[in-house]
Formats: sequence, C-alpha cells, structure tokens
Amino acid sequence: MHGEVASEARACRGESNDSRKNLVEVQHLVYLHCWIIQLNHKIMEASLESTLENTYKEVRSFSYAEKKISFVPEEEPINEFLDAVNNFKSDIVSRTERINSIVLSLEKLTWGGEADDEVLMLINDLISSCKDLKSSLIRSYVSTTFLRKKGIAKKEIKAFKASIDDLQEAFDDLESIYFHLPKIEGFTETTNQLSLV
Amino acid sequence: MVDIYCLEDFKDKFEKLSSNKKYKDLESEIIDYFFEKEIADVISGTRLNHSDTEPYIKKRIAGSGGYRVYFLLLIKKEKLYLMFVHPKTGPEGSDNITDESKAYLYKKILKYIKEEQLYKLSIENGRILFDPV
Repeated sequence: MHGEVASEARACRGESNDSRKNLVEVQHLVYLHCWIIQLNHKIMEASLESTLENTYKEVRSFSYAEKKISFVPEEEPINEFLDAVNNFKSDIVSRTERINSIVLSLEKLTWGGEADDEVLMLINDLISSCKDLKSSLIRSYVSTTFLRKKGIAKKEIKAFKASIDDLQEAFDDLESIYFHLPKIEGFTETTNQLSLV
Repeated sequence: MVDIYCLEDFKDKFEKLSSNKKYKDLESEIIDYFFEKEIADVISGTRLNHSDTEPYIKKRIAGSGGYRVYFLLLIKKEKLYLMFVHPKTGPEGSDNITDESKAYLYKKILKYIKEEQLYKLSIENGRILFDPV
C-alpha cells in the first residue's frame, strides 16, 4: 500500500517537476514577451520622441521665421508707397479741377459782348498762354505713362487727359469765335439776318 | 417750354449714331438735356456768334468724352434748332468740326428756317420722333 502510495507520490512529483519546468518556460516566455513589448514601446517612444522633436523644431523654426519675415513686405515701405500714390492722386485731381475751372471760364468769355482791339489783344494773349499751359500739361501727362502702364491712378489720369483735351477745345473755340468765324464770308451777315427772323 | 426743331444734318447724324451700340446713350442724353426745358435751362455752353437774342451754341453733353451738340436758340420765339451732333470718342468720334463747317451749318439753319425745311421733334414712348414741318 505504502509502495503504491510512494510510487504515486513520485509519479506526482515527477509530473510536478515537468509542470514546474513548463511553468518556468512559460514564465521565461512571458518575461521575454514583456521585454519585447517594452522594447517595442521604447523603440516607438524613441521614434515618437524623434518625430516630436523634429516637428517641434520645424514649428519653432517656422514660427520664428514667420515672426521675423512677414509674408507681406515691410509695412513702412508700403505705407510710403501708398502715401506717394495718394499724394499723386490728390495732386492730379486738383490739377484736373483747376483745368476744368479754366475751361468754364473760357466758355463764359464767349458770352461777352463785342470785343474791341484792346480786348482782342488780351484774348489773343490768353489763348497763347492756354497753348503754353496745354504743352506743359501734356508733358506732365506723358510723364505718367509708367504709372498708367502699372494701372496706378488710371481713372484720375484719364480724367486729367480729358480735361487737357477740353482745354484745347475751349481755347480753339475761343480763337474761332473771336478771330476766324467773323472772317468767314456770310457768318456775321447770318447773325444780322437771324435777328430779323 | 422750348419747341425743338432740327436740320436734316442733325437727323441723319443722330440716326446714324443711334444705330451704333457705342452711342446708345445719345438719345437719352439729348432728351435729358433739351426736352421739356425752359430757355434758361439750355442757354449755356460755348456761344459761337455774338448774339444775345439768337445765340448759336456748342454744348458738351455726357461729359468730356461725350457729345458736342450745335444748336441755335431763338430766345424771343422760344425755339431751339438742333443743327449737328458728333461724339468725341469712338469710331465716329472727332475732336471738333472745322470753322468752315460751323459757318456752313449757321448759314444753312437761317436758310432752312426761312424755307421751313425742318423737322419738329417730339417724344413718344421715350423715343425722339422727327416730323417734317
């Protein structure tokens, strides 16, 4: 009986030894597995850290660059440029208004009475001055070519040119009215006859 | 209110210009400036003769690059005679007309007033009508 028991006990111990061996192996495997996982994590962490670091560096560098070098050029030169454009516009609008005012004055002169020699001489001087003024204004207009090509103050320059054309037309008409039309045969006679209609 | 007449020269030029898309505003500009107006409303522009009572006028309408209208006013009779029109810009545009042309139109209007060879202008449905006198 004891022998059987002992034998069973040994058998059991033997089994127990095998189980212990298996357990140790499993423990080793688990340990190894855990170590691999930890290693993987470490590798991943290292990779993450690296990515993190690189991204941080990139962001930091970009941010610094953005702060230092603006996308739009420096504000001060732009402001100076815009001021110059605004001053130019204001100047050319003012000149245009002045020319238009002269044109109206020339038109008003055509509503004056008959002119004697002294008045005709003054009108002739005025027409000469207007021609001289027109030449200067045309030179100013030509000097705006580079601005027009760049589309700067296009509307204002166009109005300026139109006012110069009006000036030319106004002093041409004044010259016609006082110096040329009265000399055309039948013109003054027509005026006289119209008063009888 | 001023009665409006015109020479055939004006009618022909007006019709030619009005048929061009470029000058589609001409009719409305003429209506706005000349129609249903008193003498005081239309007595401005450049006077080409020296007459206070029968001024021969060149008028800029529609601004600098717009049109030039030549007309005669008989102030006492409250009559206005459109003689010629030309645009300043575009395919039919010109800076001015010659002194000879101005004189020709002036003499012609006198002759045609005397002979009553004119058109009387009126408006119907926003369009200018030309009826022979």
